[in-house]
Amino acid sequence: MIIDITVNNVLKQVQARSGDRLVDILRNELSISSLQPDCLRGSCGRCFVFMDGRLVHSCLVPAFKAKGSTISTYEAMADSADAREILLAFEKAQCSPCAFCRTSKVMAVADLLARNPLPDKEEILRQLDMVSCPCSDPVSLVDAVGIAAEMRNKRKFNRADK
Amino acid sequence: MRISEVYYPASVAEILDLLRANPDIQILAGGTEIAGSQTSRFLEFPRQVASIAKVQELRKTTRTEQFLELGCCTTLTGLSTLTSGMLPQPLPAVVGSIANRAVRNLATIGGNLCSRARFMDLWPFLACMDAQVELRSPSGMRWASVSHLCGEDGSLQFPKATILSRVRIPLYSYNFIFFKKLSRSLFPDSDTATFVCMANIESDKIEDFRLAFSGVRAFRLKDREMAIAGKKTGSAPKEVRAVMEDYMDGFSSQDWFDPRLFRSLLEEAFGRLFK
Amino acid sequence: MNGRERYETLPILGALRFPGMVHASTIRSTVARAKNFSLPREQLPTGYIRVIAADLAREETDLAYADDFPLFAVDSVSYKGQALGLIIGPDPGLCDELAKAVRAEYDEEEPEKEWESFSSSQIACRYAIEYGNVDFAFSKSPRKERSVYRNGIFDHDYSEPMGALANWEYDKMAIYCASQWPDQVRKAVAAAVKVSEVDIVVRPTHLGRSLDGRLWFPSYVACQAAIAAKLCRKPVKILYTREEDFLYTLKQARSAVTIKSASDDDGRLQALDIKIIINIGVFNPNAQEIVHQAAAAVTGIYSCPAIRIEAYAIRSNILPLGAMGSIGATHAFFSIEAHLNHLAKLAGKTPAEIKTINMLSKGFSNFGVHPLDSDIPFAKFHKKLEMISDYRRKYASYELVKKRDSGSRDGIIRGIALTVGYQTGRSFSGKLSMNAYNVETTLDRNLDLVISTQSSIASENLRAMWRATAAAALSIPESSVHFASPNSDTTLPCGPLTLSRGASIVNKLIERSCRAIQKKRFRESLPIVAKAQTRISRDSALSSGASLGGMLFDSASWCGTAVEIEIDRLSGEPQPIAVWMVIDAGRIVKKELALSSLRSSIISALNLCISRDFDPEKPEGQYLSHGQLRLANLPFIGIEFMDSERTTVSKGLGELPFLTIPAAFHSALTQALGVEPRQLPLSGSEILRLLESQ
Repeated sequence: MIIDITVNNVLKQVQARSGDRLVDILRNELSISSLQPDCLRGSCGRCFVFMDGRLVHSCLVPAFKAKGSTISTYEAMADSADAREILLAFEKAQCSPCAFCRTSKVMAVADLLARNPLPDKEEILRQLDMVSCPCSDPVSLVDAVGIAAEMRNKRKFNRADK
Repeated sequence: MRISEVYYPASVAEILDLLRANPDIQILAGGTEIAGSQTSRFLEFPRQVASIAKVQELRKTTRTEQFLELGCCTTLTGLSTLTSGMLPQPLPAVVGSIANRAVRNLATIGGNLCSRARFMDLWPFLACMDAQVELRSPSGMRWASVSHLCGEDGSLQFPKATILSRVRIPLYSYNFIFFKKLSRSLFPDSDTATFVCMANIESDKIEDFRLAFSGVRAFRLKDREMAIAGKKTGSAPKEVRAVMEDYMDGFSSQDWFDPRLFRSLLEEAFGRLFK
Repeated sequence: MNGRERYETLPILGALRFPGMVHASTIRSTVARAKNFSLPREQLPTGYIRVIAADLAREETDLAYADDFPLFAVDSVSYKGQALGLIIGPDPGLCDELAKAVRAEYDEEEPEKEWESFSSSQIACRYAIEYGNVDFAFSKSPRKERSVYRNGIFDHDYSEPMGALANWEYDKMAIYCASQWPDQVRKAVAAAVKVSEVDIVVRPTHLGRSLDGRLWFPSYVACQAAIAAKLCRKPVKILYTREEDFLYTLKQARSAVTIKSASDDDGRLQALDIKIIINIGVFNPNAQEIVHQAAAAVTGIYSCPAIRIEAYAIRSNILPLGAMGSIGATHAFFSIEAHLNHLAKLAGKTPAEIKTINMLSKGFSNFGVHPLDSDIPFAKFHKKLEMISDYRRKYASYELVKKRDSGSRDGIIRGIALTVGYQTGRSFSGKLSMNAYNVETTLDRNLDLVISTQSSIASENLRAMWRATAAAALSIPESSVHFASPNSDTTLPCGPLTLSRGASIVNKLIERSCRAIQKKRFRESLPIVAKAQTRISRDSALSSGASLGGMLFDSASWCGTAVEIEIDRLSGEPQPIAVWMVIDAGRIVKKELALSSLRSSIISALNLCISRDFDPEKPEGQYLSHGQLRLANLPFIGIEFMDSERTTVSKGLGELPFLTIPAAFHSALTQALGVEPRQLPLSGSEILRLLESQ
């Protein structure tokens, strides 16, 4: 079947079989390299996309279900101020997510801060729990999100750096 | 590799037409159960699938003084983001215990109640609240208690060629709530179970008592609930123990869950209720 | 730079694609043992082919990965899930389905499941040593105890499922895989496709965290991919699904350690008679190393005048099992610590008291060789840990609660325990390839330093440490230090990059070669190249006896670990609530990165204690039930480094959490329950049963 999906602001018509997962269509048909199908059960977060504005595991979405949806991947936000701040925050917190989970962690943090500009530690850990990776260090992750939140709020409210 | 026919009904009427033509068609809303339980690269579906997540009339939420009514395609995140005053307790905690946010962004309240493999997390709470579900089939529409989704032997009983279109939750509040979910993994497995116990206590007397427990199967004993209603929270330990053993007797025929673990949940609930 | 490109990060295997690439899925045995089997000829869709051993008879390939472990089963089957062949084609999902649909016919045999009592034919390797008059000591001793301690099978849960890609590159075959030991991949693939090693180039992909689960298995998969590529003359990628990886790849070995002890009335050890049995499943090429490490670690830090140790690696008809987090020492250390705690209870003493009485000390050693040149730093670590964890107060109060409410599930059910352990700097393998590490450094005209070593497959944290070491040695900025791409054509071979040993060796080599450059820097023109390598020590092998005694602690790193747990009253599941570690691993080059890496390792080590034991006989369904500590439920983790400023020598520390946390966790669980479980892990149901038995 042919399904119409808007991916990163571009309307695409992709060939999909009924059993294809959205992550495989995005990777294989549309060459979205930031996604990796891994756990196939919604626990590792390596296939995160924003679907109609909500962060979802694209491995849990049958491709046909995405018909008419708007999908946004890491590639769409990679050059954004949000992503740059989050990556900088990781660096400042000496938090080094590995190549497998870095993009997913950025998306998870971006999603969290978009919903809650001042998340507490529990909320941060619950959110980042969605990106299960053996490299995860909870302390530096919490620090990094705190730094990213501060940068984001300063930018949004036009606060100067002290 | 089976290739299924996929349909995109735009309304409930179209869904019913599809069911009329093929009662075995797979109705798919969030799809998290079917996708999350299959670990191969390619998903297997029945011969025909109807994707209903975008049917607008199934996503509506209405609230009256007495009820909260939700379309079956309301996502679990959508449910939990309703303003806090709208949600009876412990619904936010029950929803929050399900998987993770990204899964809840897809999973729907209807899908949670219509799982074919097992009872999911919402059932015990909705059963205790006497929630009702609107069932629509080509032959008509009716409201039924959520409890009727559970057969006498505790197994799932979902009628064929039917969709669950709405869920109506009475907005009672209970002043005693005990909720515990036992789970080791993200998705439910044979060891996953949800226990909900609620009561209204007025002047140390238990006015109303509800207890429901579910996992692979469900367990609820209304006659035991009625027997507990009317008792004092300060009842003698011997009496409390007798009530508990009565419950355990009722549970003894269940072979789907470790009775030792169920007993520990019961002890905790009763320990808090009968101080 | 001699054509060596620099790199910032290695590619991810799952993301690699080449023109014309096909995928291969493994046809697996559905029985544990068969004396022969046959695969029916099946019609495959156009573009899909099947490869089995019988098809390769005329090809120039060698299916014997090892004597008893072929790349594809030839006529007999040795474990459930064994590779019988491959389905190769353009769509990986369809390849999987076709592979699963194959219905082999088997002439089944009863699988060898027994391993704690075993036949001689099951012995993969054995190690034995005896010192002093053990039987006499037992006959004279007033107290004799015997306990068996068991560890389950655990999944490594590394960063990417197992896989490999074989591609044709002009005149060579390029192998892409995430391996801790790229040089071994090259050798194995060359042997499998019967070419010389120069015809194979290994291009490592991003390794992530491997937890010692990728020492040799990646080369096995790489050989299969290479054979498939040779046959169909196209690039072939094998990449398991996560479930397939969970069910069928290498796991931590199951073990049973029987400790018989004889002690005097004060609890002082007079004799130890220890039998270690490690179930390595169908095969493990490092069985000897695992057995030797376990044997070396099983007496812990304790002194005993008469010791007998017998250690076995036993084969059985289940999937390959091996190292995790440490190569064999975890099982042993957990057992001796548990036994000492048991003796403490019998003697009416605290664990610290019984351990202090039995501590090795300066000038003495077990086995009569290599007296220790310094005391075991037990007291120092214990004191520090007591302080930061509030151990004494908590231990006393949990003991009181336990005595008062024995078996009750009211109130909190908690335990706390300390353990002091070490991570040896020694290898016990006599194999040259396992111990040879090479580093080449080049300082160019721009004063950029390029480090060339196959070990640069390491994590960014490790490379940051090496970068800092090199920068400090040459007084250049860290941003001027780079790593050359670790492909086997341009970098010298290295031994495996294990959790720590490889890392600390490479650090020393980098320092050494940079110092060599520094000496020449102002006398010779740039670029200047320097090399450094390790040489195998003749007395490495445990069998020589020279590695025992005080040599075990030579260049060891030390830690004290405290673990506090609480039993969930409703589910019986043990929840870690706090972990403290005090570590002396010499100089810590990058403290924050070391802390971050340790925290991740602590979480992995805790998962060993709470994960379900994998059942290889009924693997189906276990993947979806596989659960681990959630970030939101993590315990408090406190880490301190001791004396790191006082030395210039860095030592490995990656194994310390795996060595000490299971031991401390088990001891804390024993205190909480009031009974000694003698195994890890335990399910919530088993724990509730133990509580009820009180």
